[in-house]
Amino acid sequence: MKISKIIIFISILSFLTVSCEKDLLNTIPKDRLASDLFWQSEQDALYASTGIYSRLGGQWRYCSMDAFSDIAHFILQWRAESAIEKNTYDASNNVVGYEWAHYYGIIQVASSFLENVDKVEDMDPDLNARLKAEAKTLRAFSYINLVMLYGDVPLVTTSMSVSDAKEIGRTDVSVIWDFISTELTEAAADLPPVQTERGRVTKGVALGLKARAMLYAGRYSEARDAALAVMALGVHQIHDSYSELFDYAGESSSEIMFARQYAKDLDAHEIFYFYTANSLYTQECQVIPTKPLVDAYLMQSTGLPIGAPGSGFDPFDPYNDRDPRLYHTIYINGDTLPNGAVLNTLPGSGTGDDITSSAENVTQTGWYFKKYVSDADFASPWNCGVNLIYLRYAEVLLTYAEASVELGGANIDQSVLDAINELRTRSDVNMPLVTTTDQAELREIVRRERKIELALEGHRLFDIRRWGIAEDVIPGTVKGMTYEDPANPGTLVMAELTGYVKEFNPAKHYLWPIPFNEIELNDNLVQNPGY
Amino acid sequence: MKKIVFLCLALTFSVSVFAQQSVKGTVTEAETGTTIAGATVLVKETTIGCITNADGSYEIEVPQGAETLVFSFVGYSTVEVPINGRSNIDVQLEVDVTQLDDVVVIGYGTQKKVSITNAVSNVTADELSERNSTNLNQALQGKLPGLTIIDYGGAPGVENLMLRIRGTTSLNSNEPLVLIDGVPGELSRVNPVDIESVSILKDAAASAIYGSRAAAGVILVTTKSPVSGKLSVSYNGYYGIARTNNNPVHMEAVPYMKLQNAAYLNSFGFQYYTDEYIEQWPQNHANDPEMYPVPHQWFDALYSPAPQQSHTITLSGGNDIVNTRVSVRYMDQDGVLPKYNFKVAELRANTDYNVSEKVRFNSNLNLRNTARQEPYNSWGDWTQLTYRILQNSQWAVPVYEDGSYGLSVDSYSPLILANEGGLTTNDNTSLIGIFKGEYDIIDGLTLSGQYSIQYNYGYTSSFSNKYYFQDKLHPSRITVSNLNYMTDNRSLSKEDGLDLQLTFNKTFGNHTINSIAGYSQIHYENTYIGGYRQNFYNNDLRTLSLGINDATQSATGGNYEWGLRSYFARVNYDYGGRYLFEANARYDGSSRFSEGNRYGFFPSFSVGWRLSNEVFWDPIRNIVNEFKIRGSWGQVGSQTVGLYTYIETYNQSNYIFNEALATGYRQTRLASQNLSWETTTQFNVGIDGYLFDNRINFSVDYYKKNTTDILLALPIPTLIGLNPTDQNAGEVENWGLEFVLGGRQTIGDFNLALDFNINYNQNEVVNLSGTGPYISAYGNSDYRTITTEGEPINSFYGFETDGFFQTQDEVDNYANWDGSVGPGDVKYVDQNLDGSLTPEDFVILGKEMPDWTFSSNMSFGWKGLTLDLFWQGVAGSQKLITGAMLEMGIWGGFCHEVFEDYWTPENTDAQFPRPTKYTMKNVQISDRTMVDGSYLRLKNIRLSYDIPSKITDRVKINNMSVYVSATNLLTFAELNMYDIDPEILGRGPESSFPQTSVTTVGVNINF
Repeated sequence: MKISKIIIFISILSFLTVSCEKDLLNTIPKDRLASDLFWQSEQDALYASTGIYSRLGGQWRYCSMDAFSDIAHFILQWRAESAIEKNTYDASNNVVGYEWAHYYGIIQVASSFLENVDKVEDMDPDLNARLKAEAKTLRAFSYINLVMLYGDVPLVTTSMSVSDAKEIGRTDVSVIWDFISTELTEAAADLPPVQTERGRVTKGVALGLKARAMLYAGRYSEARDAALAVMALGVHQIHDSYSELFDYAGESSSEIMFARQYAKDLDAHEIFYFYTANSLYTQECQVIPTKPLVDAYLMQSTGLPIGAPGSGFDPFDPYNDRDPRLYHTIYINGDTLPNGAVLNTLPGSGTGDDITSSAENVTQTGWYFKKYVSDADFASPWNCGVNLIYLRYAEVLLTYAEASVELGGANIDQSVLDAINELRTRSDVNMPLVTTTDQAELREIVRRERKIELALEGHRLFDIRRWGIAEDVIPGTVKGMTYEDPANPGTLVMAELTGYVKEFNPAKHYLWPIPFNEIELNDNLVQNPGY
Repeated sequence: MKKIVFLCLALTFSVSVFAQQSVKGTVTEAETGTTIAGATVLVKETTIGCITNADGSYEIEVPQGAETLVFSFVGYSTVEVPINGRSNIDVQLEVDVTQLDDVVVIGYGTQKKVSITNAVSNVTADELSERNSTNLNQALQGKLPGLTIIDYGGAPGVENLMLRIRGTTSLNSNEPLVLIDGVPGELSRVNPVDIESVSILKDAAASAIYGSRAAAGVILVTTKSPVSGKLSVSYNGYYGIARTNNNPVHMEAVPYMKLQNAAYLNSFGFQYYTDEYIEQWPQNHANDPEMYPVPHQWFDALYSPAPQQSHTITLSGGNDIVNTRVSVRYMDQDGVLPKYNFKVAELRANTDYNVSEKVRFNSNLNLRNTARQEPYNSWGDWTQLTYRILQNSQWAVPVYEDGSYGLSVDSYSPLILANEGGLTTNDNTSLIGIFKGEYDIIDGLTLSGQYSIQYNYGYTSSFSNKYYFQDKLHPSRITVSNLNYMTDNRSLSKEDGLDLQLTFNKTFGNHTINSIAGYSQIHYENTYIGGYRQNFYNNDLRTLSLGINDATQSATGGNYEWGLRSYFARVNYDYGGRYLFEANARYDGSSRFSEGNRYGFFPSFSVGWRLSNEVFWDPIRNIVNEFKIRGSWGQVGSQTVGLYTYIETYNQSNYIFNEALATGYRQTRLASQNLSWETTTQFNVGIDGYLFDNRINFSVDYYKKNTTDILLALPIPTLIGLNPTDQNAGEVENWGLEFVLGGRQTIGDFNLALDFNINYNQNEVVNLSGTGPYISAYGNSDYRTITTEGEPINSFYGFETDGFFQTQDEVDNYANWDGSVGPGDVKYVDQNLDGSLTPEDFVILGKEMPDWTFSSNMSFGWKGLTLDLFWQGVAGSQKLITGAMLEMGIWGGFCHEVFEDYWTPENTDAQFPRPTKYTMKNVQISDRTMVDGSYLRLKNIRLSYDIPSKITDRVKINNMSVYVSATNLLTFAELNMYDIDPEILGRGPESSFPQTSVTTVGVNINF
């Protein structure tokens, strides 16, 4: 081989090398957006604003909250949720960690939005103000939940470096309530009463959340004023049908002020599966109602609690003549299920819902939840689009009532009774009017109204915490329906999970612990008492 | 050992003017009769010689007085033949069993085994053919010291094997780099028949030349080269039957119902079955087995023997210009569960072109198509099918006499899932082309270049059926899938690589230098596209366009790429065959890191001393023929981070407004700018020796490797609100010993060969940079590991136990935990004596990665018969029992017969606690749920027979052998108690395809 050929040979190889040289190591992602390219236009601001909403929680979180109180039970005992329900959890419990991370996640996107949105030049100042107000509202919403779950928490309002995050301490709850109050007041000023895009927070939401926060904080007059401000807006009304509110028909009702938005096929949840009767879909049901909830519904004719003398309650016909919200919230024996079958949970019924069945996800209390379970979702139970409600006008009215009752004196007037009675006079509820102005009686009425009206909407845990009644209502076994023993007519039997014993230590369980990993990583975080 | 390496021997011809004699002949291989090209023929005690031609022939002028010719070829025993005045001498060369002259494939080259200073182990085609596995991974198991392969089983075509070279180095990927003919690939994608050799580069000195990808070791696979000479045709084929082994036995009906009653009584105060029902059950069952079935019949209903077959035809031959080897293969393998199947069709064509004495080219093409199918599985990593065989499937009649399906109490039927649930198919086509050129510039100096390209086209289609089944005897048991739906994913990847090397090999007197300098680059890109639709006309028309045209239809797609650019060099120096020295270096750049952190430097050094070549060794050379001490130090890297982690990005994250999708963007993860390589520093010392005429060989290696700057997604305070990204932190240390001992002896017609490989490895997390421990799960999890300083990676973590509570008084005076605890329940130890059981009371319970792995090949030959036994085992490994195999019927799961020995007030000395229902309190992860994972198993037994040439000659066949073999025939393990296969995946039979035992008959024919 001649020298010239060698040169050609080497040249070809070198050419191959050089031609492949460019950008071999400098790969630029094409499937995501580098941050330096963002924050250029109004559209980017809208994208980022939508990004905050996209962090709002999912259905599992939403539906599990009431199982941590006395009114619902989490079936699968191996899950971390079950340890929360029984109060046998510790700081390493997954739920304790997830909730913390979840709300701080919303806070991060909101804070990042507030830090960066002014980078967008030529932005309509009204749009800028409105989107900032939305971010602040969503951030305040997160802090309300954090405070109620953990007590003092770090108050984070900007993006954090890892080293800062390992040093931040806890902020006193009163400071955080102040922060929430201020932020929501400011936000309300910049928010419109109605948004063209349903799902975005409005002036009413900022004020309604403020009312909730101040009620939780025990700042009753602030709570009352905020509730009144919502009522004065005039854009929200109690929906005439209680049952419609939790189905597709009620989605556009003005009573629903703020909800996690879902749409079938586009962004769906599985609430139908979560509550389904076992006879419809086996191994799916997760949460079921318990006796404290079912017993709380009054007798419709007399307006009395079932245990009160003269209430008209018949233990052998326990579901007759009850507050109709029971029928809209819970499947009881004899109800028609979404597949057209009739629910029968009695022992020996031969259905897939026999409470003594050895199948895992059968109700053990004899009931299933109906709220949010839409017949329309039966065919595709994993594809449910009903929005899950965070805030509705009924709660604002109850906040107004409760704050007024707690303030007492002249604050207890006809407007308080009207607020409560508005909920009881929906056409599909139709309960006797409340007339008493006695503070103690009204307190009990308002608390019962919250329990049944707002059941399954995630309020109960916080309510029993702030009322200080958890040690009275939590401990003991989970109990279910009382039924006439088919084997021994005339004998009543109560379903009970005898091996499932819930605890409550008031010195400890009124707050969750700070998640184990957070404490491990940050010496300045002091654990809650008892953990 | 049929390594065909062309040695460029500089033979000088001393021409004699005196009378000469011409000798001609052919050199052939003794075993196969194929001619050997390139063999050296020398007149003894002269430098007169020649090399055989492509057809194995030679012609040599022999000076008068010469008495002997010496025939030699690498990999074969040298033969001396007296001339005795003959003019035609044909010689057969025997394959050299001493291995002394073995050439081992190392990074970017080959090296004589005796002069290797690094830790390299090697296996060649002959040794592999003893194991007629369907894929190379299984064939390598236990064959190579230092390589641990745990066979987790797996559906046909989806092997689940864990490969570890010298333990677990990193908290991230520990998968070795696999190079097939120098091109990155997967072991399972090579036809075992095509393999020439496999080398494992274990220490950093051996693997540093692969720099940033070598931290977990390197596996080099070389496929067979063409052999010149007349066309040879061979056929290798087998037919086998796979059967499940280790089917657990369910408790019989009556004891099971009694256990359930005890569980209900203990948890809820009532019994589930009436005494009368239990009493009458045996009679009822006899009268009406459909209404009163036994609790569990799924193994019989689902498992069936699965046939598999493979056929390879190989053509090889050529002349001194072009040599080609072409192999084609077809393989078909069924699964022991319904609807599983795997087919391979592949072709490999390897051609050498000798343009001139100085210029050579090679092209190597591989076309491979695989088609795999399995029942539709909506569960991702876990298959719902294997889970349902053990969970929630009781009291069902799999198929009634009228052919209809029966359902379990929980309305499940794994048989329906398998047969009626739908189908997933995967069709994968890959095309790999390698083109290589070599040019000898001057004597000893060679320039070579290689360009390779790999295309891979994958097509996966999943169709979930619509169905409705109701149990005819129990109408409340219904299983339904309301909607059929389909996903269809296609991806195309392209990886091209360029390698340039300059090698210089020269001997000056006692000094021998082998050196190499090179450049390498790889570029990878992948594009994919996928679609989804639902509500198809029926379950059979599986075409995306036939799904309903509604809002649920969706499409996705994307692309990504990465690149690597490297410079490397090696120099190897040998003084007098006694003192050996080697240095390697690689400078590697990766697109995964930000500018400034992109390049890493990986050096290594090694030395060796062949004492047996020293004068002072003379007295014992007859006994210890060969003895070498070697040592090495080096660094290698790992770049196991996701793509683009150094760039802060916004990802699409949408929400619903006005009941319609609104586009949103947000940051999801911290960017990590300063990320760089993970570095493993390894130190190795070893000895190699041969004894008694090379009949016994041994080697011992000690190594210690430290991996630093481990790329960890360290937990960050979650109040930052973003996902953590990888950081360089952490250090893991592995140290271990490797022993190899082999011996072979021939006595008359008997041949005996024994090989033992023993590895010991210890793994410890030295430092987690102040973070950790990392605990995989808390709460009622049934699988939990911890990674913490001072302990092995992924140690099992849970409670220590102290027997069972025997009295209520004992319970009342013990640490507070679950309110329902009573006599007969497990007593967990309150380590910190704080009066309550919390995760703070967890202790380390062991680990799955074994301390010891060992294997042994035993080969007994008599005339044409050979019996090979391959034993394999591990020790110092723990297994965690999980799922139904653990739960003793707490949920609606499989209840193993061993659980019959449970605690009752009458049986307080029981092996298992009292039964309970719907609570995990007695089956928390603890020392009670751990089982010693040690095992010894006869992995493979094979009897083969070489048909005598008297017979084969008559039918014009060069040679032919037949064999019968079986895998996993015999296992000694404590896990046998639960019928859990010791090689099954961590989480056990619920999540793994069943392990099998395969019986095979096969034939190898060379025409």
